[in-house]
Amino acid sequence: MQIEPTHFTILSALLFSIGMLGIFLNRRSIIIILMSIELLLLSVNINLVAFSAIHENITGQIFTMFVLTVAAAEAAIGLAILVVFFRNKGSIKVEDTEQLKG
Amino acid sequence: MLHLSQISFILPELIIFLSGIFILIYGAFSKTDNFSNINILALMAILIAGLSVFFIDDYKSLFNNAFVITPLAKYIKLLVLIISFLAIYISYNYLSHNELKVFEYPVLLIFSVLGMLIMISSNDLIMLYISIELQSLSLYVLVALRRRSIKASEAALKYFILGSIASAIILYGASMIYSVTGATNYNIISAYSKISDENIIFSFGIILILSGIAFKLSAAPFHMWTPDVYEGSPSSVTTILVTLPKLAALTVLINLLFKPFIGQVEVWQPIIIIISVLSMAVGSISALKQENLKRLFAFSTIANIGYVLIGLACVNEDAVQSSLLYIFVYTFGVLGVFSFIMMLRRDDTQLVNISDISGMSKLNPILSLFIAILLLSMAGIPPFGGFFAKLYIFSAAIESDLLFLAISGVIFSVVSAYYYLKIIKAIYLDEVVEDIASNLDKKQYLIIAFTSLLMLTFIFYADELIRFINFIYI
Repeated sequence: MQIEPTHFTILSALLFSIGMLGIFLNRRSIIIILMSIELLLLSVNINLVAFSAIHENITGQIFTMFVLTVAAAEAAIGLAILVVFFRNKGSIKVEDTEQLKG
Repeated sequence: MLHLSQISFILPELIIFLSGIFILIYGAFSKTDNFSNINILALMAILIAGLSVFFIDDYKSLFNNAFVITPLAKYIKLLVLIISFLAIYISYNYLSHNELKVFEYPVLLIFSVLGMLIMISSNDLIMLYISIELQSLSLYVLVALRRRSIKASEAALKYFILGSIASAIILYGASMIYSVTGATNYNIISAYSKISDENIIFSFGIILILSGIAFKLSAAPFHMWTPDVYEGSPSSVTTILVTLPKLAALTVLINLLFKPFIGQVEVWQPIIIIISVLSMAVGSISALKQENLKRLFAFSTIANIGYVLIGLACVNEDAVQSSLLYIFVYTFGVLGVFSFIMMLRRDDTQLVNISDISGMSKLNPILSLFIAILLLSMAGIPPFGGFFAKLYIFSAAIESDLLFLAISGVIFSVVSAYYYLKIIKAIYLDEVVEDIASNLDKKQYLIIAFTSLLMLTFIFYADELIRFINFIYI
């Protein structure tokens, strides 16, 4: 079977949806949310790289490099905030974020 | 290629960037506690950057058209630098009272301002994404600055998770636009959108990018994080959150809608109209039952963003100029209100509830008068600034045959007048509970006086300001 541009789009859309569902359906640990955020960013990269090859220009691949860098920075800051939260609360369950309401 | 002559056009960004690096190194390696020095350095850097905005050309595009300078960009850059200067200026005593005197505070603020300055000038989706991330990542850490507090860390966690989702949505939209056009530069996308018919993937990309930016603007239905984050973060950080990112995100929205997406007005105009009405409704109605001042003003921010978006929904330049006038009045008004919230403290605790300020007028009549002016202006009562800002927005909506938007705007501004007047009632009519502000902070008092006089004397300089804003073409 020939691999066409739509296949890449579908793969990337599927991964993006899995990431979104992982964030909103997950009732257990906040770590899973951080993993899902990574998945969101990386699913976009598939789209960018695939269309960089199809359009035969390099912009998409450059964009991917930036996204990878930002994803690393974001993971570092996310984990740092999670550590601060854990020190105060003693738990990283999703349902334990209930101080602010109304 | 970057020529040396081009450096002069990115002077504000360069000054902010270098001073951020310098303050970071200075703060990390100096042994003694010299927060006041670092604070002054940060103020100086922002002041110089603000002055350097005056020396750059009105129109210039740099770095393969990834970075453009326009009158709009210059106006918002100046506003961002002024507000960040005032925000650092008023927060010094607040930070020392709350044991937040860490050198990271000005450094993170400066880097987030750098992100905003680049956001405002960005003309390329890559530049846009990187600068939005720079801005947001610094703000996530600023919200978590009060490390020992459960509320602050929870607020930071919520802000981080929802903010990252919004960035990912913007990114996914950008990748869709890239997949259709094969470019990330606004000029090329703009040329594509003008000649092409409706393309479902392109429209989908526009919708995703708009939703992500609506999140950064805290416009309904993407506003869920706003009250929680504003309540949990330290008041000095909340002051920054309600003013600076809104200015930057609004400019990004104007740049996107009127440059690359202008050929697809029929796709985005209904979305902006829906977001605008929803924001006004959610902001006005949810604020009615709030007793916490920070939560109340979080909802008030959402409502105000709704009014600003009316100007964008009209799709013409005059209406956008009235939006720029509105955001000017809004940022200064809310700056005054939040310096008042920062000022409220009894013994060692910050006060945030409406009941805490009841009967304030009997002890501090002048301060109460200033606050009353600010609140009446936000409620849109003549002759204060807020009234004229709303007037221009609504008349722009009527001229563009969006009568429905103008009518709902008037209705919701009547609803929101209720909670502004509720605060004024607490200050003037309720019984005195306790003396709340016996030792008033001079700097914060000065800013409250300055902003309320700005609102009071708006009629005298309104003509000048409008003439100035009329020079801003998109």
